[in-house]
Amino acid sequence: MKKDLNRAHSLSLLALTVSAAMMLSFVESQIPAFIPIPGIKIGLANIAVVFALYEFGIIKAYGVSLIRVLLVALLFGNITGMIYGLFGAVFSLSLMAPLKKFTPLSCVGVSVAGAVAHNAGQILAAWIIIGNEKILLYLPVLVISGTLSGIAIGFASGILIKRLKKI
Amino acid sequence: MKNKKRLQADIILIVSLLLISAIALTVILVTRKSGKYAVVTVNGQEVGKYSLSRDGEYTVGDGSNVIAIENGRVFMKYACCPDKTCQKRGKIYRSGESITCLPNRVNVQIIGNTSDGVELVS
Repeated sequence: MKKDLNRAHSLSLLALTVSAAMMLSFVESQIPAFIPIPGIKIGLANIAVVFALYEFGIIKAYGVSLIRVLLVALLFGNITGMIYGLFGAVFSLSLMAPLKKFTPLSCVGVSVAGAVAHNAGQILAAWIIIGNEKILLYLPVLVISGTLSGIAIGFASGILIKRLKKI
Repeated sequence: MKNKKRLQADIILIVSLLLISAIALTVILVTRKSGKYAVVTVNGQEVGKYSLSRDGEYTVGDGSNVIAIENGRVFMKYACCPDKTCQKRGKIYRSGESITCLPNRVNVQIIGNTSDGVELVS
């Protein structure tokens, strides 16, 4: 009985996190891009992913992230967007998880690494889809923007993790 | 103590990422050769200036030629003349390169190599 209750509890928590991530994606899609370069964005949905990584562990964080990408692509996007999203999500988590476990980085550092890996993954996807290697020249700009947005997202997630621990 | 170590690790990561990408950016900006615009002239008169960063097709010279921009490269997609030399010219993107359609007196030249630091993907 208790086990079932725990499962229901964690399932609903995960579902809540996924829906929060989707809401954040939606909110972000409504913010007009202030720099006309695709790929430069805040990555609000990463707050939910970083939160999931710290609170629920690696596997569930992957679940939250991938389900978010699929649902967001189905609701607001298209197949191409989904491929970009999947590359970004997988790269990002595959770097964040070991960094969180094996290095002294705080969630700000982990989030920065995740944001940069996300951008790198998307550039790689763009390279595969467009087939023009010149797009790789774009990486340094995205690393800078990813680092800055990663700092912001890292602080936001840190506050969130701390506040929600009290509940 | 633990917090201090974390902060240190974070700062090292952030600073090194910014430093490496700034260096890479500088190298790219200094060495890049791609132009920024395709200037189209018909009969020696400029009829259009198109950014290479935007894909598109442009019909010029009363429909005699169609110029296409794709992934920062410019090529003559269609020319009404019989020899099609300009269509065989292929794609150009470096500043200074040009495509000329002699029968129709259409010329496309790539210009601009200014590094404004923002538009990197050409």
